[in-house]
Amino acid sequence: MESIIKKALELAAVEYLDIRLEESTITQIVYSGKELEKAGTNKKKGGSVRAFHRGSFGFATFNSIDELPKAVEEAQRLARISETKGSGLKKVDPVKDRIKAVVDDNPLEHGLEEKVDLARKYNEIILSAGEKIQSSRVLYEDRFVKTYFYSTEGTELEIEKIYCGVSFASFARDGSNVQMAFNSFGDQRGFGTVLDHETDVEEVVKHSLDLLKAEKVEGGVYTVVLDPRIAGTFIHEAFGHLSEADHMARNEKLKAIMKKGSRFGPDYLNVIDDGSMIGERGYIGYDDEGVRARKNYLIKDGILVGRLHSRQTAELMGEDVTGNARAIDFSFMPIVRMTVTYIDRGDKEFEELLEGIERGLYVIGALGGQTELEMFTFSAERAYKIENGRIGEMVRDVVLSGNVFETLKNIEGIGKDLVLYGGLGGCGKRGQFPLPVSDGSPHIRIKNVVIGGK
Amino acid sequence: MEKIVEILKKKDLEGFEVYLEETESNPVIFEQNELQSLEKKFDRGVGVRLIRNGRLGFSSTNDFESPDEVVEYALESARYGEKVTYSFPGPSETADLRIYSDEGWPEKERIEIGNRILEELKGLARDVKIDMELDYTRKKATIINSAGLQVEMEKTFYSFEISGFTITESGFVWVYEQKASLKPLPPFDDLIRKLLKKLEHADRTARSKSGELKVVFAPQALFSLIRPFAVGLSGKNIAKRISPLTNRIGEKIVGENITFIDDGTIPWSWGTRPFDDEGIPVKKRFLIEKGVLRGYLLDLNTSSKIGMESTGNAFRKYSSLPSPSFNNLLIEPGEIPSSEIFKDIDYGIVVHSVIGGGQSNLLAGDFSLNIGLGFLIEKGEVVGRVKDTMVAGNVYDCFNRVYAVSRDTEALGPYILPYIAFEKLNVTAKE
Repeated sequence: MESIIKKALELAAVEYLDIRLEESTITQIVYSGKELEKAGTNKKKGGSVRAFHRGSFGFATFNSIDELPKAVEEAQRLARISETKGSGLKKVDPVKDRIKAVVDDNPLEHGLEEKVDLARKYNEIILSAGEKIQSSRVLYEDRFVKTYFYSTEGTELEIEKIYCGVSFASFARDGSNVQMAFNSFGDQRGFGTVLDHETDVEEVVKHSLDLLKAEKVEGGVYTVVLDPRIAGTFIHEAFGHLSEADHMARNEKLKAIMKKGSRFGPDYLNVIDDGSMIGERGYIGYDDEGVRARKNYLIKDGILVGRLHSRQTAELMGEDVTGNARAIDFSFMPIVRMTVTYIDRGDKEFEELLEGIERGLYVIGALGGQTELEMFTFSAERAYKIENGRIGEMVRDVVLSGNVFETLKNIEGIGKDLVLYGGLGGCGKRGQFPLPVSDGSPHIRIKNVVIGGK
Repeated sequence: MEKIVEILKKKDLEGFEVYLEETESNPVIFEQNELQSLEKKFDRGVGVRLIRNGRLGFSSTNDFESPDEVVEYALESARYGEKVTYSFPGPSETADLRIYSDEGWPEKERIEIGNRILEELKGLARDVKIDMELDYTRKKATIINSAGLQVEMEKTFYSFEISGFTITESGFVWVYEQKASLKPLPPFDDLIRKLLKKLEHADRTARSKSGELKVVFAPQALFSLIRPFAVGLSGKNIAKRISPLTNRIGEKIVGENITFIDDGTIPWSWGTRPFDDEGIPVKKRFLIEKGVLRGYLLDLNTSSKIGMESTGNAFRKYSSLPSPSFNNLLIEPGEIPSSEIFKDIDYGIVVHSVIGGGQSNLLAGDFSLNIGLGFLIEKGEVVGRVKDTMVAGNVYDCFNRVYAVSRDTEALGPYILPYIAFEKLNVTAKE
């Protein structure tokens, strides 16, 4: 393998060229209601060549390694078709490294039957919970990915990753009222991650049943306390995407807004992206340009101090690389992405966050989120009313929106209880979905959040 | 592929199907007013479905050097697989549809088009950053099954997407347009004009009242209100009995001025194809006719579970099992041009894009959307852009209160959508 790649690199006659080869094996088990909808293993392998010449990239993918030399020629042809005024790529030192996956218990050493049994066990907990439970969805997934990365600058990497996770959803129905509750666990720690979730499944069932009885939230402007999961989604959507330098690298106005040293939040707000956290779902070790992942502060003590870069955006902005160029697989060009993004712990107890809230919401669980960089939206699984500092009855259909420049400044307190979440989903950008990421936070309190509804 | 078929024929099976897919795409990508990359992406893979002891097995691969392995994985999967209630279809008559034009779209021509658009926009006062993707894709799918079906389909896809980003007094503004067809595209002058019009309207900010207001959804934003219907009409959710549309064929579910047609036969339209990904012929069918539910989106699996026939709506990639979706969704246009709808509004909002579609309880039909780009209209005139404003409701409720459907439509990939005007929707604006 190594000799074939090295031989192909000799064909390079452009400023820069890299080759990625990837093999992946994915086992998925899906229970949908009573039926085992899917149980099996899929394999994929292939590679891509990325050539850079006078400001623009040429990119060619292939399935079989026999086609590698042809792809090298094709990528170079595409890179040469047009020259732009664009700048080069940030210089980095070449690295040679080999990273093995570190898992407590390798899921690939467990048979399909054991995985099916596990998924069935969780599924039966949901389906046996009474006549109001209409359906279920349980997903088990493990994924082994091996990547080779070689560049004309001399970087040579061989990286293995093993992802493993489980998710479960319960659908409760009362007449035409259908409600769903959901939870997931997924990371790169191994098979242990998917075991012993019986209590979590029971809780999901309970939440779906409780949601049947919950009222719809009343639209309006609220003070909210977010649990660590939805606070993680909030920081990912509201601020993480804005920190991706590809949006601003060639935009003077946005650069001015995102000037380092500007105040973005209260003194006690710290936001970090860190792709070097072994075991987390968003761990990468090296990014897909062969740049080592590191801990990058985005906001420190409320002040903007950093952002996420590819080699191209780092060069365009005259800043250091951060190791954030990622692709969902070999068939995509790496673009600027997050890894493990979180709000660091603060000093408040949970009870302190509730203090003095006359009319608010305690918001729990995240169904999703979306951003247009300034305005963003994210939605909760459920919420509880807060009246005079006390948690009251459950409400549903809570979709929160905000404006990043105001909402971060409206943070009124950060708890001590930092939790990071991976799960089985991921982040989407420019048609690349789902990219494994983690996000997290302690409990946080924010004022003046717009919530849609009647 | 032949090798895999040969191996499957020798196994003791009740049925099998091999789905081979070859895709070659060639996007030209501009980012922030610069040519960013040219790509040539090739993918060829195969999915194997088989039935043994009444159970389904599935696996896929793009490694054609080991045909035995994919069959072994599929057989292992069949030990646990779903009980199969359908059989693979034999050959049938299919229409001759226009879905392939190998005229192509040279890379150099696309770079020139992109550069020309950038040059035109440079002359404007606004500092707009443009992203564009000009793509030409060819796709070939082959299906062979144990019932004697052997069919092949080749499609060409031509698409152009442009988004503009600018920072004005009203904050960050994103505008977006696209055009897509199975044949070469006409010039984009009208798209650029539309894009500029939106930018112009976004210069000023307007503050909307909260409460029940007239709201018009433009085609791009309407997509978010179609999603709950897509979920509700999907055979998957009908078979599971979690869709609110379960067992309601023949009933009136929305207003009489609403008609949804799934039509996979429209010449050159994005979703047009003679047969679906299981080899079932594709037809024109009413889903909702004058407010009355007429049918669901079904594939072999979901149709067999509810005792109906497949509607030819199966979609898949080689690496996944089929799942039902729209071929082309046409919402039947009305009589009045959208410009007239706007003129008649005394106080209301027109929504062009939303943030957060698909995050509500889609099964229940709920939506709660942040308006990404939307304008306040007073006495028929655009006053300015609304911000920090949400619109919420339930599609099964508010599609009963549509007071106008426009005559003009926009094709967004396989969705052909008009402007739809709602009498009263809940709007929440920041005070």
